[in-house]
Amino acid sequence: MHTHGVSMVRTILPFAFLIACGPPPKGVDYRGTRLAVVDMHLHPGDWQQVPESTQGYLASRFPFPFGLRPEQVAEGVLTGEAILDQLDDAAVSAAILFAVYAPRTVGVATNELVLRERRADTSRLWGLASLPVDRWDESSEAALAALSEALDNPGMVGIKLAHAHMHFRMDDPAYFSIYDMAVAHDAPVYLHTGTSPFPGTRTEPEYTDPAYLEAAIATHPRVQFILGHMGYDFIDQRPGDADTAIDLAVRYDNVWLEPSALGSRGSDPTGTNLPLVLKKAKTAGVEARLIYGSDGPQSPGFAADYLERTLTALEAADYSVEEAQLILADNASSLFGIPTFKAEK
Amino acid sequence: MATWLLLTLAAAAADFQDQDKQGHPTRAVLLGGSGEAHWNAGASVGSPWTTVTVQRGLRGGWTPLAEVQAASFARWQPAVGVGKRWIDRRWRLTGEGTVGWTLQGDPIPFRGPAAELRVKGGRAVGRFAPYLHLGMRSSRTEDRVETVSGDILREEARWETTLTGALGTGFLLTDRVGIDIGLDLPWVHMPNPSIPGMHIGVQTGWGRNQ
Repeated sequence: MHTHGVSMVRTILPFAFLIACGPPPKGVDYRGTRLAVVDMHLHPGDWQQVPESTQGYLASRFPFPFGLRPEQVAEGVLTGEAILDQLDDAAVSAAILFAVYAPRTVGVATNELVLRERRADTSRLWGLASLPVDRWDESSEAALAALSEALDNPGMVGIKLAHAHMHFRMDDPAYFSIYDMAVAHDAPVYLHTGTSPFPGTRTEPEYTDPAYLEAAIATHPRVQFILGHMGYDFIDQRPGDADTAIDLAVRYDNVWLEPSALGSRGSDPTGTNLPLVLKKAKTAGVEARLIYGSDGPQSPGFAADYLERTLTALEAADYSVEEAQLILADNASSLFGIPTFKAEK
Repeated sequence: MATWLLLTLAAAAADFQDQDKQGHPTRAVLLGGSGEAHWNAGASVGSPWTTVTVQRGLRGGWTPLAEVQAASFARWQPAVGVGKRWIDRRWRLTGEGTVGWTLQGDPIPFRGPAAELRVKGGRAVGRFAPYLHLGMRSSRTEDRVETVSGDILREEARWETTLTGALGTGFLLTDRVGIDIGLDLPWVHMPNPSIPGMHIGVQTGWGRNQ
């Protein structure tokens, strides 16, 4: 019996070790309350589909020596499985993966790739579909048809656009058919706003300033517009057009604000800009229309680090527990029609 | 048996403190400065750094050297230089200066001249040779922006400063062969963080033994 007991201990110990070292329970502590988190902005990808100049830009931001051979690192953080590991480390319950069609700037992550990586865990991962807009005069019909087909998949819960990366004006009505597609599929539209640090990105206000989105917002009241990065100026690392983004949210009920990336160590070295824009949103009375995203995975540990910085900023801007829960998870659940997540104890 | 082993090790330790053994290749490479007319060579492999060094001792503690350092076999740093033993008693302190080249390919191309100043210090402790290296390296490259057709829009110089460092210990195996293990602590591409590396190395030497 005793021998059996020892044997049992030897059998169980390795598994006990695994349990002890497993991921932390999902959720974060905010002002003494456990809150669930949904990260609505993560990028799966294929390093080979990233343009050379952007590969160089990304590699230069990796810690040495990872930048020397960035492909291995990138492949290690861009898959669905790797993203789940990042979510586990950050105690995040679920996430939304972005498709991207920006071959001249940040590269291409197809709708098919997003759906494939989503299979890593369909109960925790969803996707935003996108479409190529190059040669729009000739190819819009086919591109919209492909977008519609992607949105027919229940795993795709919205549309991702980035005018500065994709090189089309925010106010060009030729592209408003994308918003019509959003209405047809009841799909929220995420839009990159503000400047971008990536090589080849358009920097003129027509591509970056959310003010140029007003025509689309006003003429498509049934579309939920999520203003990504809140108009942040990533080149000069300042709030940029954040006031404009907030003003649009004040005046239009179908505008949401997503402060991803702008508070990262690289984009907000002093740590002052994220609390500042969150405070501005609260002062303007649109705190309930913020939605959390990180813009990861970028590098190992980024998702957890960005969440921590966001919690610090929320507290600094004096957000209540109820407001924080809306921002961190519940807004994403209601906006994208995904399940409501609860924090684990 | 254990007593015999301890006595043997103690005798060996005393033997390696002998003045003649101060010119041991491991000490020459890791603490800097070869004995006069000694040739010494060292090679180390690790992650990310791999290094090969050859040096020869001259009169007065001067030591010309040639070396090639490689990080992940993607960043190459060939260089020639000279070292000078400043202190060579129980502790050894050596200064080294090198000039060479930095060669790094895509996706972060960097090709240009480089210079490095460093100090190597440590002491003999029986068969062991704990060491510390600290240095600063500066490299220069030309960033070139070209159009698709190959026209050069602009060229601008870019400097890269790297703080170099290593910490470890050598171990003398025989009169002419030793090994070492150490941590590599460079800060490349500042202000980005750098991940420390590790290496194991081997050192050997030949020539007049004094």
